[in-house]
Amino acid sequence: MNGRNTLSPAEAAQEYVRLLELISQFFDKSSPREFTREPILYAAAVVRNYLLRCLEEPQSPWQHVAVIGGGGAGKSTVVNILLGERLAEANPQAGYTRHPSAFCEQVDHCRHVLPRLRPIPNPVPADVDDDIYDIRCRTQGRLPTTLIIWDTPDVTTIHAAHYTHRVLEVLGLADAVIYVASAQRYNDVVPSLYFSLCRQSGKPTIACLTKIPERETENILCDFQEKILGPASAHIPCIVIPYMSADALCNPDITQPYRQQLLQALEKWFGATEESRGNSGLTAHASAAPHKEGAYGWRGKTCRQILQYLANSEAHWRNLLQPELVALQQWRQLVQQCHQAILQRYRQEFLAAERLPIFDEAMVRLLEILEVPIVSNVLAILRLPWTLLGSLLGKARTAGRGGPLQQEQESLENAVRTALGQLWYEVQRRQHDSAFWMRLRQGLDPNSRPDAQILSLLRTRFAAYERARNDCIETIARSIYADLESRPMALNALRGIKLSLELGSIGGILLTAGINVWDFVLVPLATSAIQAIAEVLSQGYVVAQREAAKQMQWQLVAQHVLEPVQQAIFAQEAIRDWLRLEKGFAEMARWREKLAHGLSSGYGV
Amino acid sequence: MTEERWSGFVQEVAEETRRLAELSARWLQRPHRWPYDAQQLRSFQELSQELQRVASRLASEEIFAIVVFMGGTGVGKSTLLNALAGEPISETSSRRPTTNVPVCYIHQAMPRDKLPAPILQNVKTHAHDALRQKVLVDTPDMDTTKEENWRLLEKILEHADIVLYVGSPEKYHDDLGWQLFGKFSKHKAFAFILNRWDECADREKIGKAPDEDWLADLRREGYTNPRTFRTSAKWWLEKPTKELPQGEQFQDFKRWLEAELASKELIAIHQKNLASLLHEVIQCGEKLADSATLSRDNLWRAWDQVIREKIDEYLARCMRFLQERQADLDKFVRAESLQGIPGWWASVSRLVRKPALGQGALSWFRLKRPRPNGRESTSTPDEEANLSSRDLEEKLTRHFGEDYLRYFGEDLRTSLLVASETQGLPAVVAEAALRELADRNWLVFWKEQMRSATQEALANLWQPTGWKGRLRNLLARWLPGRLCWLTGFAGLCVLMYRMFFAATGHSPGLWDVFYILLPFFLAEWLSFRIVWWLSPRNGQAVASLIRERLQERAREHFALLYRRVLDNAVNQVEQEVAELRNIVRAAQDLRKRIQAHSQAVEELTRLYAAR
Repeated sequence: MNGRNTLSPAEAAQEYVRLLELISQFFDKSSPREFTREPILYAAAVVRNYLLRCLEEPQSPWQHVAVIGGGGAGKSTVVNILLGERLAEANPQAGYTRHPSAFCEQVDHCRHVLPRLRPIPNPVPADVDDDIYDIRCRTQGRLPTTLIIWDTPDVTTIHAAHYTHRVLEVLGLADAVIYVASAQRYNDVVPSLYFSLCRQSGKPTIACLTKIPERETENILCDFQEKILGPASAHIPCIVIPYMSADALCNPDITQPYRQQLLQALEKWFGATEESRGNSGLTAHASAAPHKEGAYGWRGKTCRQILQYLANSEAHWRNLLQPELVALQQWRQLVQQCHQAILQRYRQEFLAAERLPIFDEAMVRLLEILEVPIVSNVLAILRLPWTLLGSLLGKARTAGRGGPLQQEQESLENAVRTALGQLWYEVQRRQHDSAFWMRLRQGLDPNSRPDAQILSLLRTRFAAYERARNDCIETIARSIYADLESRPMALNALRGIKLSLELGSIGGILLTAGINVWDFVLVPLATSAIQAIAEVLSQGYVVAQREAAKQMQWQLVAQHVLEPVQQAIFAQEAIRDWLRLEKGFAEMARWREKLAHGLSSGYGV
Repeated sequence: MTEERWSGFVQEVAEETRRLAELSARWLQRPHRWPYDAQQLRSFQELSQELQRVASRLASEEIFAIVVFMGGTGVGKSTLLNALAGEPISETSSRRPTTNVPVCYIHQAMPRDKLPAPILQNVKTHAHDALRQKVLVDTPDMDTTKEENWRLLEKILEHADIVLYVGSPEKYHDDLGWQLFGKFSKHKAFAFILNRWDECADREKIGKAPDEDWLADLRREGYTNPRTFRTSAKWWLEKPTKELPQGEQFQDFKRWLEAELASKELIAIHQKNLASLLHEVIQCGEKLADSATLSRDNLWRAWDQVIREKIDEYLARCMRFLQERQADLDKFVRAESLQGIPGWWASVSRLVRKPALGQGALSWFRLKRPRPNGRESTSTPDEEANLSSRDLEEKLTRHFGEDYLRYFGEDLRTSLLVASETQGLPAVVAEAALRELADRNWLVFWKEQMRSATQEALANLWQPTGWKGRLRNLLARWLPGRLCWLTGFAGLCVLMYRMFFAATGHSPGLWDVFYILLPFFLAEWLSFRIVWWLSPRNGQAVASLIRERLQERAREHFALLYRRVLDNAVNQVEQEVAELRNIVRAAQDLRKRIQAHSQAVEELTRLYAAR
């Protein structure tokens, strides 16, 4: 409880990211058009690269702009247009770029922004397929210093599966996103998905349609706004770049108007700073939009929207993984049932027949202390008939009632062995029900089952338990007489009652019948009867105590031996991820709130 | 093979294919004992459906091939079809996606009833005889946000014979299209068209050109020399003033489709498609069949061992139970030993040594108590003969059985499941087989066995096989009775002699009676001691006899029972697998026949991936 409360916002965010990464592992692509994993990875990237950055440095001056799109849509071309120089490698091979590139004024500006990718401070050929990002320096100061442009790999081609995570990293980092879609691609499902992720999470986005035939501009723009942007089309600037030859695209003079449009759109989002106005030569109207929440208010707003997006998505992910969590719960119940079955069997096979001879000794001791020392020797002779009869009865009572046929440990081991076999069968039976059971089944392969470990755990636990049990039973057994011994008043009272009854009965017989032959019969009979009553009463007490001791023993076994065993059975290595998942889902909202709290203090909200 | 022989080809193969499809469908429908991999079963089912489709296609009178255009949105599938037709057949526009309903372009003489329903939604007819045998289908895209289009395309591709994978410089290797290509290229002919070739021409040269890049991708998929065409369909439709880009191959494509794909080639394609499909059926069927292999002997060895172990384990407990009652048993055995000895010393002993478990001293008063050893026992009913042993049995079976055998069935079943698994028999199969024994009350069995084993062990007390036992029985029959009477008679003789011959006048007194009785008693006592000494005295022997008998019986019984269960289960699995192997064999035969008849059309190998 304490550990949870002392989590700092940054640690909470780390935990959150770890959980999201874990969740993403649960989704494989079962059909080519299933995109469950991407939003989760995106969420993880946003928390890691954006929210954490905002938390550490709320007033960070850097504005990262990511350019994304499908293969061959012209991302690198748009980057070049924006930069006003040919730094990105635009080329005709669809899916040529394999890692992101950052374009900034100085290498130091974006050295430590993507923890998952290795920064390379000098240009690397765009087709190097590795978890890196290269940093390229702008040579002409045509952009605000604070603006960092990111060129990303495509998300559509056959190789994209290897590097979409790199795109998602950059997408998570971005303060604003430029979505590049060509005339062929503007309604493609995969790039649209990435675009909609950015929009849903509240990131500022700019759509950039490329390779548009002049005549079709209006047509395509309307179609794009209707099918992709939907009701949000009024808020998202759309910049149309017509179809041009490669030479034309390389000419900064021709592309200048598009560059202007892009910069204006960006500035609308970020608000104009002194520097940007000076450098980009834009008109001053952009600066006329002062933000209510300070210079970086847009960032605080984005953070809030991202947190809202995460809150909305959590329920969705939880629903998606509900079957897995239910399976985990079922497994827990199964193990619990198995635990109960073992206990039941232990009770029937062992405990029911257990005699606990220490209680017989306690009984003898109890009868002994009830005697008054010297008088009892005389009375013992008088009680001869009862002693004889009692020994006969005792033999008859105990005959045919042996102890348990198995050692306690052996009986437990047998019960556990069978219960495990049944449990493994249940797992196998359910293996096609969900991924959980399949994984568990794989972990419980016939050749690598943990039966031996569980039994050895049982043995080590049993040794500890045995000591506790012996102590406990001895205490209960001793308490039968020690309780009385420690309270001399009560003991003496009991002794007195018994003795007075005996003496009283003898006296009564002598008084009523007088002294004659019959006394030899009547006196022993009377003392025997009183002794028998005393024995029956104490026997009842001892039996009750014996049952209590057995109950105690049962509880001890359950607690000291079988609970650890149950834990060991339940917490299989194979299902560790599911356990983490369950725990994570319970904590998720709390982590997010912690993070939100940390962020709100950063932006003064 | 000429066109005239097409019907021959049909009759030969169509019927076989249909039969195969039916067989595999029936096999898929039957309940399976074996838990096959769900994925493999699904692909087998898909193959079976594909066989069904091919069979119905082959039933057609005329040779034709369904040629399907496949590609992302905007690559120009519709434009290509229009360029081929020379007129706007299919709608083209800059709106994505354009085509939402497949356009089927067929010759007017083509009978439509043979065509599959999914492609017949928007039919355009023509009178080009060159395209007489080809059904051209323009399809919806596969990569836009409209998911229905993807599903529609998948359905259409299932019916295709030749697929034209149309790409553009932007979209020639998009993942979504590639997945479909990978799925269908296994048993369908594929040709590749890089449309919008004009857009490639004026690009700068960094990295690979799209066509080269595509060829490299295709090589990785096994197409060493794929049939590719670089086209610029729009140019042929609009015929602008701009000159045709270099390396444009639309005319080649048109010629290939119209002239090169003649009847002979179409037949070869059908054959090759079917042969590839059969190859897949064979592979998938074999994989399924191989996954369900069992070794009956190994399984039985494992089961037998488990059964023996479990029996021994429980018998060990039973022995411990008997050991704890060793004193009772000893007493019982001693009392029983006395029963067989005649004479009154034995009777007195019977009185003194109260049988612990028998009906007690009172039995002595039943004078005609039958001896369990001899022929006499045959004259009395068994029930009476075993009166005292019944009590022992009762004690053993009731106490032992109810308290300690409760879990025998469960233990055995679970151990068998585990053992089966290690031998490759999935526990679910074993469980299904064992379920029929699950309700069986093992307690009853064990009680019966315990009873009969006890009876046997007790009977064995009286019919021992060793020298000691035989001697004891012999002596028990002869010594106490006859020796006593003999000594008694001898004493009488001595007395008579002394009365009449030795000392005349000697009148018989009380002492003379003593002379007779003393040797009589002595002989009686001596013979009793001898027999007693030879008699079995402790219960150990009985206990171990009971154990032996129980072990023997239980092993025999369970071996029989479980062998049957196992055989049943294995037989069922084997039968199921045998049926599957039959299908595979039939597919192999059919494939061989097709390959023997098929003609080597060198050019066509370019349409398939190398395997």
